[in-house]
Amino acid sequence: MFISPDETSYRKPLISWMALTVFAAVFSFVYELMSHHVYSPFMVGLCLIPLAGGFLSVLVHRIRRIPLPDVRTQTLHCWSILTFTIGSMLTGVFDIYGTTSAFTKYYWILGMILLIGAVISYGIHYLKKINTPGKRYLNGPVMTRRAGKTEHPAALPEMPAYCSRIREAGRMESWSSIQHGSN
Amino acid sequence: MFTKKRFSLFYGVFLLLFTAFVLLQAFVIPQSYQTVSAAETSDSSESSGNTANAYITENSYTSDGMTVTIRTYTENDTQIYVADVLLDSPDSLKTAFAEDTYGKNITEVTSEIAENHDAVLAINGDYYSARNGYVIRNGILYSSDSTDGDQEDLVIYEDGSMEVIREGDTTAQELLDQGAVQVFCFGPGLIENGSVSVSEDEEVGHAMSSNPRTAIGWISDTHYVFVVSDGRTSESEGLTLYELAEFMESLGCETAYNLDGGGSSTMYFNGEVVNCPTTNGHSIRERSVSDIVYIA
Repeated sequence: MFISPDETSYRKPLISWMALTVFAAVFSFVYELMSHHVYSPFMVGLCLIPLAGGFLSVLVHRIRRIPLPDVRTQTLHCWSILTFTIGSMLTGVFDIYGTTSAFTKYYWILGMILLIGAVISYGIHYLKKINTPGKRYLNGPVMTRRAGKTEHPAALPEMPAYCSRIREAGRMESWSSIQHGSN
Repeated sequence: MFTKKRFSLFYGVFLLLFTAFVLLQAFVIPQSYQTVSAAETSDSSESSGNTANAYITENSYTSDGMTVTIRTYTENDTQIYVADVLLDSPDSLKTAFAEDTYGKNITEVTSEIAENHDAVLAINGDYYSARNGYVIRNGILYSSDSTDGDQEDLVIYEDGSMEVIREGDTTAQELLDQGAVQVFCFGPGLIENGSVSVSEDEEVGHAMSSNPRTAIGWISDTHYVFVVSDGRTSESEGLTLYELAEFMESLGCETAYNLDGGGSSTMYFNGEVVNCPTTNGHSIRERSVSDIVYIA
């Protein structure tokens, strides 16, 4: 979907989140335009959720050269932001119509559950990472401050094709450990 | 095992279906909570007197027990229709639900509900089904739920008097015990104790502009005014709440209350829709509503 954690570029998630932000902004603008000057803060501020929760989050990672989290974390985070966005949109629609719904609160609850799940998943992944010395996780680009670009470790032979299966499954083992049969 | 594709597929489908359900439940699926019995919708002629002796003109209706006069005003670039109602008995002021059913997403156009109840005069009500608040109609309590203590309701008592109350100050049952026969939960109150009670920047549902409006006012004893203004057209701009309140004050109202406006604003008199109801300003057409206030 929006996030490809095994890619080394931040470009795709940034573009995806920006597209969602723009869509939310256009949607809220058009809806408010046709609502006979009835305004709802949930509709007016609709684009802020994917902007702050998605785009800026990835941008901060990019600027600070922090690798993007693992697949599970990003998936949970992505869906939590989407759930919040849809909940805000529906709340705005009901506000403008002049009614309420007993079900809109479940979007906030679900979104929070997913967000907490993403945080926990990130924590587990981080703890796993720091508690396994000697392994390097290939979640994202390895960057140095000097070069400012991806630098792959030197003197490693080309990774065999069958290792792509391991990467796709999300198991972040270093190539060197696979070489030495620690898998 | 958690995989991105599997989770995304499952959760995406779930979210889509749930959202569709929420929208359908809010706007489409009719939900009937209570049907009004035949006794509660008894023939209006029993309380209105002998309508066979009514004197009817294009703008007035006079019979034993009631006089209704329609006047048209143009103020603030807006066409305003005022029905001046004089009754011998407050029992002639009634309310009715669409399809005689209390529920959600159950609607009919004002003229149809009015015809079904042999109404001489009718305006749209407070569209109770879209809001949470006290609902008392014709002396029967339908809803005592309140989610906003500051919600202003209009109470019509059995002696014909009107009062604007706040839901946080009393319960629906207490109102019923005090003799309330009708309670509306739209608002806000426009006139209280003869004075304008809305501020110039006050609006309903964050609307800050001119719109079609419906209002009901009490002048004295059993003397009422039903007011409907057009709007959203080039001929009729609409009124802000403050302008509406000022107009009600100019009619001499002791108490006045704002009902559902916009595309719902409809006045029915003597078998015809008097005003030009419109939702978007492009087509003149009645909107289906959940309830009406009528004279019969």
